[in-house]
Amino acid sequence: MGAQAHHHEESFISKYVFSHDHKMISKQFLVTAILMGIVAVMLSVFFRLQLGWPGESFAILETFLGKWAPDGVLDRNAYLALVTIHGTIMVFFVLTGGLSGTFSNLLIPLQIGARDMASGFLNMLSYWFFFFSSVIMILSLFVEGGAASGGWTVYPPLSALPQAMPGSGMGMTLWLISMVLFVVSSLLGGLNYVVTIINLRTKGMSMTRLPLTIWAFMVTAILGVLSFPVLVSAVVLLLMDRTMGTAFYLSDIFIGGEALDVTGGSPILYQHLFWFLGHPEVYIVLLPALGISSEVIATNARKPIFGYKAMVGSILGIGFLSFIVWGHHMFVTGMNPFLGSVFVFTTLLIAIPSAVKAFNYITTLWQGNLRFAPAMLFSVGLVSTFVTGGLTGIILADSALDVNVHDTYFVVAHFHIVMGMSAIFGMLAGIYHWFPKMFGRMMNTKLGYAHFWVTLIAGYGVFFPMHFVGIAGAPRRYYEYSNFDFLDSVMDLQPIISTFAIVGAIGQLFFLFNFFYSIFYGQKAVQNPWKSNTLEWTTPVQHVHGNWDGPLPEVHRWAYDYSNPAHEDDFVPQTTPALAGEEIH
Amino acid sequence: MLASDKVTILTDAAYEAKEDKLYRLQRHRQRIQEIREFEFDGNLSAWEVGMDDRIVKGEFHLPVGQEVEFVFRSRDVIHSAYMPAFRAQMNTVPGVPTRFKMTPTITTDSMRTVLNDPEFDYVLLCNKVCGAAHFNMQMKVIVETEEQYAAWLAEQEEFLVKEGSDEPELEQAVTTEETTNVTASL
Repeated sequence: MGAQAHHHEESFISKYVFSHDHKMISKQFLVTAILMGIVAVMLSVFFRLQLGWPGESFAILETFLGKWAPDGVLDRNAYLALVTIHGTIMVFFVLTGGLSGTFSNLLIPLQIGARDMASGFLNMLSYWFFFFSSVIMILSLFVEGGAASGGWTVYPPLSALPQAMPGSGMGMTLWLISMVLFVVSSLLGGLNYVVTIINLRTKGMSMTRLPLTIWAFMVTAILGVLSFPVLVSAVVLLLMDRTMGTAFYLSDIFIGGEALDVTGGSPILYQHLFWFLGHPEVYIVLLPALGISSEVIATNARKPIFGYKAMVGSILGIGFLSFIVWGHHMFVTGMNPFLGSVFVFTTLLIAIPSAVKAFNYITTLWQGNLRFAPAMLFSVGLVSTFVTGGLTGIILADSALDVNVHDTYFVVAHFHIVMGMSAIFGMLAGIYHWFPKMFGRMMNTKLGYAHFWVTLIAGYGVFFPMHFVGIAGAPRRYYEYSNFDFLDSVMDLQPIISTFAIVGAIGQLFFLFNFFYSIFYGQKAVQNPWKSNTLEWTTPVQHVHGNWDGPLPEVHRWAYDYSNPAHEDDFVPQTTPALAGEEIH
Repeated sequence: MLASDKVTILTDAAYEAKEDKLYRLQRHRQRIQEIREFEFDGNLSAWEVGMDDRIVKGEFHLPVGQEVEFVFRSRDVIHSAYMPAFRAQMNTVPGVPTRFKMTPTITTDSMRTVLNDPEFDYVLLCNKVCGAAHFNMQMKVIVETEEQYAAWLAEQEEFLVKEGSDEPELEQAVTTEETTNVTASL
């Protein structure tokens, strides 16, 4: 957009479908991600039914899965497909596309004082690649042989050989195509975010005055731009192995007694390529959630964020370190133990910036004038899950300890708490906090409280017991565990875990109802409902193309000037000029 | 490499006669080749011949108190040989042999006494998703005294000695087979 706001009549198509407006695109991302999230949660309930009560018949499974659950008992292949697609959708479509796509789009122009993204057209393309990628991923559930079934990491040779299992057929091809489109979407979006943040900041908005959300989104976008191309190359090579007879990942393979004509490749190469994206991906998921929480916690604690520069530094530190730790996913692939110890060192280094962030959240909350809006509860919940999950991360980062629990439920517990719950909590905090900005109405607070407590208790109820199951030695991605007597003692936990999973899934109805009801019937929002400092709350409640009716706002101070004794209010918007003699950040 | 005839360990006529078992034999030959190429400690005498290899299915035995070296390979997809009781795990990767060493310290019998569970057995299970039967891919591991181990080993047939015999077919459907070959070095 130019310096002037353009107001012109728009058709339904250009306003709601092929919109170039970042606010509309952000809503498109959000609604798509919520729909994908519903699918992913339902898939997890389906396989939790099997894990909690193996072999029992559930009518709901047959209703939804048809021939994949004959007589209401989940099929073995379908089980693996559900696990795989649950992971894929949650990691990529909900927590990457949904979280970054929604909040980077919404907040970057609004919080830096820009009229729109640097390129509205690329932004639109980013959404539509994401949309078609989502559609293909959902479609892959319905093809012959079922969806991809090799786990969300789709390690070859299992994923490379269509004859290896039913889920490595058409479903796997669609998975790969979907991921390529997804990567395109992420790259278009990410480039746009970085360019916008660097070039389109309004007057006075220096880098050190940026809200931490924007810092987090920028580092996230940089991580994505640098690492997603590696995933796409891994995926394309895998596609070639599947369809063109190459052998990048294949060597010395016998299927059904027949030797395949492949030699010289290495399955480990795929893992290196995959995790070179895969680990930064963890922070692509987590950093926006941490950024959102910084904003929500400072606003609702009515205090400046503690250690702003340390926070920025730790975001940058996490971003850098995330590129040199991928080997910790591969300690038991036959990696040279010395190389493993290098990855142990770099991985443990991440504990430092992570601990800085956790410490700063707690010190920001300390003696604050806390206001427990639902967004605040979810942000505090994020601090809790970030610490809980981070502690088990120290165990998994150590190669000698990791060997014991690699690929067990301990890992499942770890990443669901530190990445899954934390990022979802950050995303939900963001939705509750910025809903008035998106839709001009407020969400119901009481339903928000109910949603938070059900989600927190159910989340810990699901994932905390998994630590014990994992330490006992229960591998992940098992259809059932009755073949192993030594696991009998912990299998009593499985029905409990499944019950919490079902309760947690049903608890999300509080959110869904609240979200969709409030869009149309929520209480009308005032311009600055949370009494927040950042620029987005200076825009009119009713969206206008170009965000501000008049000239762009000018920024005079940092984003966290809360409870400043020199001012009458307990918040000082960034547009407030300095008082005489006031030293400002 | 598989189809190459440059390396020939089996030179006798039985090799040609057993066309139907060609791949299994080539596989075995290659296994010996690769094991030989490791040269960890120069102690290759047990392997150099390769004629004393035993192929076991379903369970394997280990002598207590002796360091054991595992060398893993896979014929189809990535599996992971996970022995939770020993806190030991290593992926088995097609085309890339992997290995580790460990020393079992408690025999199965002692463990049964300690746990007061006469049914107890150590187990090796697959810990990398490998197909529909992944959840049931396992081997029993018996840790026993050196004498018991020697007795057990003597009962196992030496693979290459029995050329004319009617051996069990090793190749099965990909999802049900146990592909972890364990070579114990003593």
